[in-house]
Amino acid sequence: MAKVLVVDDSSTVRNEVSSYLTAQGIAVDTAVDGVDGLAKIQRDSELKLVLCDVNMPNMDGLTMVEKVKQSGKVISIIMLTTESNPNMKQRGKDAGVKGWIVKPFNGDAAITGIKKMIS
Amino acid sequence: MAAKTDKSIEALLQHSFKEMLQLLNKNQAFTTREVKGEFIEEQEFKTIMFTVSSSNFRLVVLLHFLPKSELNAELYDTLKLDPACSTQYYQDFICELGNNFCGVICRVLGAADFSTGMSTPAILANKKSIINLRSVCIDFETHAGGFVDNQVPLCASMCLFFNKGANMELNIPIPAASHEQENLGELEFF
Repeated sequence: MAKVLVVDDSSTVRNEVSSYLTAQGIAVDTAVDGVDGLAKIQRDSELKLVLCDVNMPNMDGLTMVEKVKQSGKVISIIMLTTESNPNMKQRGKDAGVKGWIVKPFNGDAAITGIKKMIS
Repeated sequence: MAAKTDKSIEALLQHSFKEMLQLLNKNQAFTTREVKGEFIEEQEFKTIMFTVSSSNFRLVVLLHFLPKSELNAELYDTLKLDPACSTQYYQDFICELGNNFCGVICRVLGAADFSTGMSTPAILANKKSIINLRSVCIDFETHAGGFVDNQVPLCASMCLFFNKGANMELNIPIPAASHEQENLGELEFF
């Protein structure tokens, strides 16, 4: 079964997004920051998609994405963030990010794209 | 400092605070209005601090909230919270609300061609946060209260600091209230 990893330092967001995706029949794992997310991406071969915040302690989301790219791991990543700065989006694009969602998370607005990415 | 700058910051705070409240369960229960810093200092608030930075200025954004022990059934319902939630969960919920608050601020500033970055939230241990900030020379401060009947579960402060040598004039166009929420939550494919 395809699995989605939700990387966010906010437990509110992790719970909200996980609950929505689980109700859609999608398996979900969570990580609390970029360091935790990077470790889970490297070791979990069932992960098909990562939903990742930008501003997080320890390691921010865009740095995590760049490290994933450097490691050679191929996985779809969507940023889920309050940030909408064009420079940040460009940095994400350059690192191979596939999409961008400006918070708050609206599952109904994003689910079609998410399902497409994990199918 | 130009009166235009004061007005811009006041309008930015009022707009972004109202937009943040739109995320809550019963946002129509809230009325918002400008309040004095002294009013906030009189309340039993806890405070979360964020910083929004640009090349010319910094905005220290404070979100003041009632401690969980002060919430009643009406406020739990208004805030879309389970009364059985932990204090940690409640604070995390308020931090995320603050993140969205700063997200609105950054989008409005971005539309006005200010490139910004924002910090992660920090919960302040000291209750006298505004007084402490004044000691490091705020260029301008403004405050807003979110009222539910006679209760004040949330207030916000915005403190402006210009960087040394920066042009101390800001003119920030504020979008219509309904426009802000339009594209939020949608997946933009690259």
